[in-house]
Amino acid sequence: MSDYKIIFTGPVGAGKTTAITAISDTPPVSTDEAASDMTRSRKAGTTVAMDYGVLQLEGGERIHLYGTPGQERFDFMWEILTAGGLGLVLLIDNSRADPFRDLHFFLDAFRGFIAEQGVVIGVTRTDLGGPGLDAYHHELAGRDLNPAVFEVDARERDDVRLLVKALLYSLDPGLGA
Amino acid sequence: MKPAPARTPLKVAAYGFAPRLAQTLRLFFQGPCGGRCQLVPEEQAELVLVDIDSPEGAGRWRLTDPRNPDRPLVAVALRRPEPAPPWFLSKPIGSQAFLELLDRLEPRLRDTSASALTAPSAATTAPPDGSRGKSRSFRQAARGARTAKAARTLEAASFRHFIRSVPDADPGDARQRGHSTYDPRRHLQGHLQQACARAAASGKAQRLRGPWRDILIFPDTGEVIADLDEARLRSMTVIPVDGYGQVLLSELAAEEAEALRGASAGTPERQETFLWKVALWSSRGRLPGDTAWETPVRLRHWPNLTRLVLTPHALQLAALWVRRRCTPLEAAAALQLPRPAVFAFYSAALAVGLMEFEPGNVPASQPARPSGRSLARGLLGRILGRLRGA
Repeated sequence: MSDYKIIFTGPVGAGKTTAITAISDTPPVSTDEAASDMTRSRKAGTTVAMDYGVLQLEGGERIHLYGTPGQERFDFMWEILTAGGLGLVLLIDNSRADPFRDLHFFLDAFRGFIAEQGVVIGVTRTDLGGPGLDAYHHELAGRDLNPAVFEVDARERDDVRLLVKALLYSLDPGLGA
Repeated sequence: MKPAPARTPLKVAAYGFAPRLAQTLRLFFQGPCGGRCQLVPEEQAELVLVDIDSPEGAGRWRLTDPRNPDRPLVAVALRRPEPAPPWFLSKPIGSQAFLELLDRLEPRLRDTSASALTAPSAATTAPPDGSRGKSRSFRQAARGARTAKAARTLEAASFRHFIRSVPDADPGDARQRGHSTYDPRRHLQGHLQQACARAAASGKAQRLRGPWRDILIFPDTGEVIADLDEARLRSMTVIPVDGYGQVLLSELAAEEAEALRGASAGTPERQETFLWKVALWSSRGRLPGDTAWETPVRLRHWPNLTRLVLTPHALQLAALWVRRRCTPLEAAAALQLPRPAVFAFYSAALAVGLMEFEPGNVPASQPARPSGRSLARGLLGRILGRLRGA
């Protein structure tokens, strides 16, 4: 069995658990616990270990979907998680005080992985205000990056699937050929 | 009632049904319905049954499916809701009632004539039970919900329907190239682009008046309000406007703009979303006539494809054109895609200002995967297939 992975990351409450749930073939294993201190204002529970889901492929092959813990104090796990990863799905909560700080934090944290593989960015909670996608593209251009950036409702399976498909085509535009 | 004789089964999806009920439906289709329809994933379905008694389906019947507005949604419930949905089946679903519903729906679904491109007739939009008085409020609710969602998808079959009349001309033959081009200025698209440009330049709202009702452009919110439904808008994009009357573009004073914003029956849409779909529908698989076929282009950045009409192969084309500069014909050849699909995407991206012609300050795209360490294309393709079919 392969151990290929797609990694979902982003700040607390950005929708990683929801997104994995939206596309996983099995009920995702989630390790949400009651949130404390800084995360309490964002969501009732937060992921302290990781989320895990599976995409079943024909022939029994499986793609593992891993969600990183949303709290920075668990970042020692991220390097372990990304080993064997196909690419990164970065979810940014647009309603947070400074979403670009989050954006740069995660792009820095996964810099090596992104350079080796690829990244797509899903911007969530855009209905609550915050910067537009053009501002995200501007921020990314400053880093010499031009990944797919979509508005995403993490509860919508089609949105999440489109984001993951964009990641795959980013890795190889000729996939469908 | 006896099932109809053998024919291509109608593809039906079940939304909001518990797995056990969905399995029962499958058996129902195979047995009492005589194989006249088959249960398929929603992405492949020609019509969708929605269990509106379920939490998932509760709000769904109010919507014309935003990702496939022409596909009927059939509400299934113990009691008929108010306002009445256009298509309804009461529980428990009986074979006779179901087959009668198919009799009404199937001619419409199987209709591949050009008339399907035009606004639906009253017969297809009015509630089948004759409660026509309720249809307007339903359509208004549906339109509002559609716009709130804003995502638009044309499934492959629907898209082919748009572009099938466009010959895949020999690009080496200048005369044949003419068949693969259109002039946006002769269509609603050109007038709309002009209005949007004026709104952006002046910072003032614009009104575009023509054979359609008013189209209002508000630069302060980046929104467009069109007082016409989706089907009529689609029809308007196809027909050159210079053939049927005058088009007037006028600038609105602030008070007038606010008054019209409040009075319009239309629902605000983002300018980019609106312009993208108008260009796509106008193009119908053709390139703007002034396109320099030999000029390589690239995308400034990915379109926000979760909130735009998503055409087949849009993801591939975006991925390619963000990564490297090439002509539409080169893109079609590189990805082995039908040219009309490439031309339609190009036209829409060009209309919203995403195409870049000269080398500029576009950031380097994501690094190509090192070939020595690249994953087998087969694996990525299998994941993609799984996501398509999920």
